[in-house]
Amino acid sequence: MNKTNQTSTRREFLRQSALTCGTTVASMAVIALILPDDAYAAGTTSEYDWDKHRWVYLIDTRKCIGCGSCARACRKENQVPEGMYRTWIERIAIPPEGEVHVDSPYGGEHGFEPDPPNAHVRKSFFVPKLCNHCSNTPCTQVCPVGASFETNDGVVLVDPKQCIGCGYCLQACPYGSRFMNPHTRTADKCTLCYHRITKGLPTACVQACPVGARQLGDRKNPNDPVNEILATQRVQVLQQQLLTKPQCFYLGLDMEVR
Amino acid sequence: MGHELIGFLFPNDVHIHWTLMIVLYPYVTGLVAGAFIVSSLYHVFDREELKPLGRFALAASFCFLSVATLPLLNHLGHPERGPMVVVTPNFSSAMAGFGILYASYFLVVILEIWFVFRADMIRYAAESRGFKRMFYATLALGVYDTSEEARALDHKITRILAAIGIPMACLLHGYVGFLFGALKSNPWWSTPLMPVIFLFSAVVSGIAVLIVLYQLAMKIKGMPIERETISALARWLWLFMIMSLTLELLEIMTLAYEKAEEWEVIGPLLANQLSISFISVQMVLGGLIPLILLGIVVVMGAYMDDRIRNTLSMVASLLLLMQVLAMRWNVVIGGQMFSKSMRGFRDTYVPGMFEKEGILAAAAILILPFLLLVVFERILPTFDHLGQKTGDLNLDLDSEPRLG
Amino acid sequence: MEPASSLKHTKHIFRVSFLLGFVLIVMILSRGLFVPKSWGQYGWYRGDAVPEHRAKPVVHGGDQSCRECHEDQYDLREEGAHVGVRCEGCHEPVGSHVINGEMTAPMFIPASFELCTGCHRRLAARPDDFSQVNPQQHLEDNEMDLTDTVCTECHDPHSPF
Repeated sequence: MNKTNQTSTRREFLRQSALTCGTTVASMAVIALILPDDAYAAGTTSEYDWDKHRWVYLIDTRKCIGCGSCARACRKENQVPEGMYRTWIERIAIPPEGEVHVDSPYGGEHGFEPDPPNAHVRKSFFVPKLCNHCSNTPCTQVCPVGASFETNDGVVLVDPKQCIGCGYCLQACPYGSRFMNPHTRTADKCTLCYHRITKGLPTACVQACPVGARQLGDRKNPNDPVNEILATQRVQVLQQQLLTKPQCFYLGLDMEVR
Repeated sequence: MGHELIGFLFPNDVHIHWTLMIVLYPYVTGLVAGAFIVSSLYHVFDREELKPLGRFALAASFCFLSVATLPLLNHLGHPERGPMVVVTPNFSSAMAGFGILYASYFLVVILEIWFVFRADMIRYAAESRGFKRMFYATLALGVYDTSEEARALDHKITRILAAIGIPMACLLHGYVGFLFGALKSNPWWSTPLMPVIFLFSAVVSGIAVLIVLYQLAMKIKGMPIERETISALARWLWLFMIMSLTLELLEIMTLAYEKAEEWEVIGPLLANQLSISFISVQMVLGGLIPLILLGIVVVMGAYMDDRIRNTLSMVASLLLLMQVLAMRWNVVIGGQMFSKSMRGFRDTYVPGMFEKEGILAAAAILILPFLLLVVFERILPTFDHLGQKTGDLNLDLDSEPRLG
Repeated sequence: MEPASSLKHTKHIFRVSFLLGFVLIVMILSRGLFVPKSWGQYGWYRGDAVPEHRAKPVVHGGDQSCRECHEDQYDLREEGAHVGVRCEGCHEPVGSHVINGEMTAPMFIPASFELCTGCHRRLAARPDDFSQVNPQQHLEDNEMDLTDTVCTECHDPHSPF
């Protein structure tokens, strides 16, 4: 109980600071602070040509420590409402026999409970999740009014001014990546930080990850390290039997991950 | 939040997005399609025993159709943007066809009603004065041709419209099933059987509601309940409910027998979350019992007292109306009781009484078509022409339509 | 109100067809009024939605923006084991602290037991080569009591060890 109290005061603080950010930060103000020697600052700001990029995402589950920094950064960067998740972290524990145990308290945003003392699971790992930005996407397919679409650089977005809030896309997404935003009453989801990546910045979650478990890649950039990994290593996607062609690739996935 | 979560759910999957309103929507459109098909059995296939219901069924279909969009609009996050479905329809979406399909079906029903009741409108206009006369004259679009030839033409067009209406009613409702059946993300919905199941249960609910309404209307009007009509309706109802139940069972049996990955969630779902609403209500109380009751009516009909026949078919119809509602509930809510992680469930879902999409709102929407039907009956009585045929060619002396 | 010409008994059909055609044409013509301006610019969606997404405010500025004022801490971190940890990961987004080069609010200093163990508590799911401890055991071994700031008594969060 003590822990919940601590986290709740901490969450209160985070929520307040997120609110201040959301309302007061002018985008240009922060951009002005960024030096161009950032790893991604090749072609920043206004001169962005989406035909020269094709964004992909790579997650190395063998590196993830389940700290939740990514989920916290996402919430602050995008003013994600409490209780809704654009990204989250699952802990998978696979005993040699018996039930697979999966948990994700608060989407892993505030870290994970210690292992139960009698747990002797030797195969256990964290799996960060987010919108897979599928290229054969079931969610944009079902949007009746064209409020959900894929950009030319491969990002699946929702137009909050066009969305009628029917919730069909939420039902169609097999990954649970979408939610109904209670403030806008429209469908909401990971934008792959479109406001950042189109300015040469990494997504908030990629930037926040202390161990490099999350990486943003650009298929059209031949020097991108993610391309090298995709070209040489064995990667997997989630629920590939559904043929949604996710553009979010995983290293070190187990068959028990769904 | 009076519910508990069992196992692991994706963190965004703990909400029920499609509520009671989305349960009601296929229920109401089902009543539309079912009632229309009964009306067409008379208008197209000349089933004389259904003549007393030819017009009434059409009127009922129209009234249900008028409220069919209400639950949807009430559910939308932005109902004011609802018309975008026809302004910028995204045709890769199953839902985008809704506006166009709904509008064209509405058109067919309105046109058919107009041609069926045109002669009546003119008669009422001729019999009345002042505002009332103007009203009926406007309804008749200012053309007062009731000649033999014109009426023959009306009859022909009615038949064509009723014939067009049958595939359209099937489309409109099959399409509702398709909305669910075509989502590969949800193992409880994703089956090509879904549109067919929806269609058959729609016809069941439509016939059932007509059996109830017909008996009520006749009681209120003090008119006799035709034995042939009830027998015919009971026969049709029995046939369609057998097909509907068979399909519903077939779906479950296939999943269970295949032991495919879907069964990992659907097995527990049926055993726990849906045990009452699926097994007890949809299968036993609303399935098996009406099957027996209607079976008695159909097989023993010739030796049966009218009152027993009427009561048995009334009870069976009410049970079937509940069965179809339960079926809609089990599909819509059942499909959201588990997470797409296929590892977790909600224990229950109980809609609130007063919330926006709660029980009260649902009740209001369900009562509305019956009120509309009363109003329709006052403007264009649907049973009065029956007395006409037997009472020679004379006009009805009583120009005030009576009801209640 | 006498019945009109009964030469051809199709007048009512023409009238209803005309009405219908009229309604249909009005509907089709008025559709254009409701289609959003930039519709179809790139595809079957509102083109303006793309720049609108791009224009959202950037909240996390990245380490380089922190370095502008806090070069000491930045360099200290560069040399230690926390080189991979972003400033804003433990602190708060720069946007809550500085706007247009002006400090608007003090920065949050989080050095709590909760924060450190969030990454370094031993969990079976964590990679074996990642530095982690059993907090109770670690405190007992070093004969220390659990307080909220106990970790930073020995470890400098900008450069631990």
